Amino acid sequence: MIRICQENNITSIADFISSRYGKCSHLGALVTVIAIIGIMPYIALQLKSISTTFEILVHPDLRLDFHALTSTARHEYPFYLETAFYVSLVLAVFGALFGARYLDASEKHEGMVAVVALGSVVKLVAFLSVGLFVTYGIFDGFKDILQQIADDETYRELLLINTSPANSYQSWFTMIILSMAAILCLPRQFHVSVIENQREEHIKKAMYLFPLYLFLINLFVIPISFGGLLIIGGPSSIADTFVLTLPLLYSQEALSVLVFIGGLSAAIGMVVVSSVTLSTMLLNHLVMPLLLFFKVKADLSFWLLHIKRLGIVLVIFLGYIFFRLIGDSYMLVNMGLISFSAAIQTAPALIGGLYWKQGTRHGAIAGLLLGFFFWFYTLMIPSFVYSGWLPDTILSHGPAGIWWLNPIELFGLTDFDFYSHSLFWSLSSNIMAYLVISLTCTQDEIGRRQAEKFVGVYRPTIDRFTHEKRYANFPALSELEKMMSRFIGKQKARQVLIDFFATVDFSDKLAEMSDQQRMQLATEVEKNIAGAVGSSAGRIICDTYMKALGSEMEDVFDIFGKISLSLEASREELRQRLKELSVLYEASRMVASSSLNLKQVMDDILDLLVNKFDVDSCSVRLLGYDGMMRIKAQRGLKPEFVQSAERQPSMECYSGECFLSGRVIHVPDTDKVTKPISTNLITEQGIKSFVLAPILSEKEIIGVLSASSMKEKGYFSDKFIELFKTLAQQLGVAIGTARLYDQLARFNKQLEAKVAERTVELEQKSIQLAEANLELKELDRLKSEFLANMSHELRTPMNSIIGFTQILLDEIDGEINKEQKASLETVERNANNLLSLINDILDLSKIEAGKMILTLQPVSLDNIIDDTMTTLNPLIESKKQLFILEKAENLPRVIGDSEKLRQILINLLNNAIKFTDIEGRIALQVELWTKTPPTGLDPLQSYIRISVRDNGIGIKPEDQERLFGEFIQLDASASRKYGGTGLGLSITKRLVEMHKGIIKVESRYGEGSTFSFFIPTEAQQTV
Amino acid sequence: MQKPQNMFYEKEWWVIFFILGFFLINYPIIHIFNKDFLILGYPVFFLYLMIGWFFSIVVIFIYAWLSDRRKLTVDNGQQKQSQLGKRLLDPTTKTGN
Repeated sequence: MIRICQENNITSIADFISSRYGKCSHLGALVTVIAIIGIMPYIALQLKSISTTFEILVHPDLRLDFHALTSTARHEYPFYLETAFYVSLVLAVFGALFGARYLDASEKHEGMVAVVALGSVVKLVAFLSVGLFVTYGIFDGFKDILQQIADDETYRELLLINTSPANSYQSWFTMIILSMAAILCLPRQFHVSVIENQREEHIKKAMYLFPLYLFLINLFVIPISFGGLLIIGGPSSIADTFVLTLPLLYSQEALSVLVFIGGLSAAIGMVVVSSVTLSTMLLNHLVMPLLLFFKVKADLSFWLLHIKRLGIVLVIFLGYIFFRLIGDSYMLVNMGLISFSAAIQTAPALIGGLYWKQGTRHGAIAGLLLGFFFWFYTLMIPSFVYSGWLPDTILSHGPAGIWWLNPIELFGLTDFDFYSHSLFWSLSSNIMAYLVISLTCTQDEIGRRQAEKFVGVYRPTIDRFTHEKRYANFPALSELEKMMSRFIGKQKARQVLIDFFATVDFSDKLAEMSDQQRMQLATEVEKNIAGAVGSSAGRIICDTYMKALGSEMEDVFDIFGKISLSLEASREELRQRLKELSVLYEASRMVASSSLNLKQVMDDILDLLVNKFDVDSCSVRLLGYDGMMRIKAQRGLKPEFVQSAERQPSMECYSGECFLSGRVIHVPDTDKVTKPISTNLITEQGIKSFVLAPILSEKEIIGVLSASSMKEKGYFSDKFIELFKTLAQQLGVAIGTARLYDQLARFNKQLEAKVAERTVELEQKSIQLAEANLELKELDRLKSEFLANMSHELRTPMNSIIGFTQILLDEIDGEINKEQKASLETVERNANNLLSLINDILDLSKIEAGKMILTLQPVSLDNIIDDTMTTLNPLIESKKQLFILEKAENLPRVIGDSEKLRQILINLLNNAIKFTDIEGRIALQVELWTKTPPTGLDPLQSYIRISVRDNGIGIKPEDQERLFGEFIQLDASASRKYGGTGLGLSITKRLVEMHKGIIKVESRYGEGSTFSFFIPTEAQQTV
Repeated sequence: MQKPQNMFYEKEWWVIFFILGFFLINYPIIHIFNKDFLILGYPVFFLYLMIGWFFSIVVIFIYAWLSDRRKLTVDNGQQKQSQLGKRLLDPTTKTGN
């Protein structure tokens, strides 16, 4: 608490509370009002004690006459004849003269404290002397007095507690709580222990010295009071005076005077300190805000001191009024307790403010108001009743007869003593209101900042807040001095400025100060004014003054300031920030992954810098393939700068150095720039400070990210630089990805182009092919037609050749000799060969030209096979081959052209005979095909398979495919040996196919071949 | 020797003393001594309060003395350092480098 007060120049408890809850002037005023009203009974107490003791001293006859004694306080005299009036007058003058010598309330009043200390010592000495006198002079020590009390029937119960409602454990507890709070919360206590504190370590000493003092003072309280009771007796209301009356009774006048002086000095001390403290509060929290409200612009420093003095007088006389009105209804201690009960109302706001960050202004105000209201209702209203101001019925039947509003039994809470009852209602409502309202209301910026500052006072305060605000237009130093001198005097104002510039070694030229330094100066100025007039007034003064000069605080969005703030704020908030950060991260990650556009990535990052961090200009430089570094993207730079910034990276400029060294470069003050190339550019741009970070992509530096401020020097905090670096790394990753993607896209494009090219080529080729195909088909058709025509034209002469050769050979025209006959036979043989060739060609071309028409009808195979065998038998016999016919019985008829079927059979058998050696074996197998027909045939149709098997030369596997082609004879030598045109199998195949059948060949080279063909039967397949 | 010194330097001790004291002078505990009974001629309640009070002062004195001594030996340098640290941490002195 002491640390806080010293750091913030806090002047009083009101100042502390108002300062803690956002320098709120209303709160300060409220605390002040509570304190002043609360202190009235206390001042009254002191006045009463002084005047009563004085009365007792000067009127010895009154000493034992209780009624006369009490009647003096009955205010039978007008005030100008009353002792207490003059006492207050003297005290007021004393306080005004010594308590308000300077305006700066936060300064230590060492003299005053010394006086108070001396007074306390005198009081202690006086009290101890009386105590010793009573205990050991009149009685025979502690034991004696206590023994006598214990023996006395009426007084015995004083040794115990919990004997009556006014003496219960509750009241005991209440007293303890009140006393504890009083030590801190009474304005004068707060003042002496906190404001007047010189060193924090003093608290430790006070921690045992203060209780020790209380212990000593109280040591003889019990003997004196018991002694007084035993000797003088009487009602407890005069027990206050025993200290004085006992020595007087035993004619110890000197001791009585000592006691009087002791009491007087202590009372004066308390009154003066209280009034000084309160007048400070009055001035700072009531008068100043009012003056400011009415915009009084005169030089106030002279008046303020007088107002302060007036305040002291006012406070003392308020106490006097209370004394005159109510004073005699109470004992001294009870008046003190009323005062304490008021003071304790500040405890929740005070202690909560110290340890609980969430405590808000509204909570404090609500708590104080409610607590104060209950205090007033449960303690002051009864006081007014006792003094006769208000009717007694309020306490017996409640106000207006409403019993549950009875001020001493509120809401029916009976059997509580006066103070416990009051304390319970006021403090509980106070705390509840404080907590509930604090939790439901949100704090404003300044409130949060102050809470941070107060609760976290032991944490090192780095520039947490100076980052967030800045002055748009800072006033001149002379203006500041003028403003300060109005409140703290010219000399002091000058001294403050000199001290400020001595501690923060900076040039005192305002123009060269950064915003942070200006903020500091402004804070310093405000603090000093606050020292004179209190923090809330100080803030108002500074704000309005700055505003009048056109200088307003503006928010600076500094995400790092906020983050560092929240580091101390709470874990929850921190988590929130982290989330924001991760959103930021996520955003940039998305930038990197989704757009994949290099330009887009860079623009996004730069926009982030400009929008979120309020940099004036920023750029991304990337190294090109030609080794030149160019600005690829920028914000806030002039075009000519972008042009001139294109160069090879070198140590001569900062970006080059950053690029080459790979280090982050931060230049907080561009006046100290040493690199010649950079200097021109920087001055042209008007850059005040800048920061550069290398952009890394897979451990390779590819460019430089830069940001600069034209507003102020030292703009970039360390935390910003840290994040800036990360940002550059992120950008590097993004650029790397984007580049990769670019490359990929390029490859992709190339590939696509190639594919397209090929496709076009292929398409063209296929068109060409189709054309060629068409052409070929046409040619084929032409060829077939030509062949058909030609062979027809050839056959006619061939027939005459063969016919006339036959005539010659038959010697119809005359005899021929042997040689002629041999020649003619050769002609005939060759002509026959030629004719069969022509026939074959004719068939083939007919088939190909589609001119061969079969008459498909059910025919029996038996006849066909018989005919064929008849035709071929001579040939088989001539080669002495074995022919085997394996024909199943009851074969169904086949659908076919019998002529063509015979041709097929003849062709196949002919081949077999031809390619089988003499005495070889040839078999013809005819059977109904019961299995599934081979591929290419109608599976629902039933077929007859006809196979021709031989054990001839066989066909090589590779030749089997092209066996059925035209003009194919597998072996040129075989053609010569066996004869034939090579068209046979081709025609056979066509013929089989024209019967909707197929023909196959199985053969093993050198072992023989099997040709088999399928012909559909007239019966349907019965499967 | 270092362990007890560290122990007494803890701030929490103050809280413990506070709570202890608060309990000792409140209801259930004082009820024990709230008896019409004399010890050596002194009322028990009077004795308890006076001795307890004085004893608590002694305890606080001893504790303050112990922690003070530690502060003197160990923290004397730190005090200066924290002043220096404050200055180093000051934002205005930082930006100059």
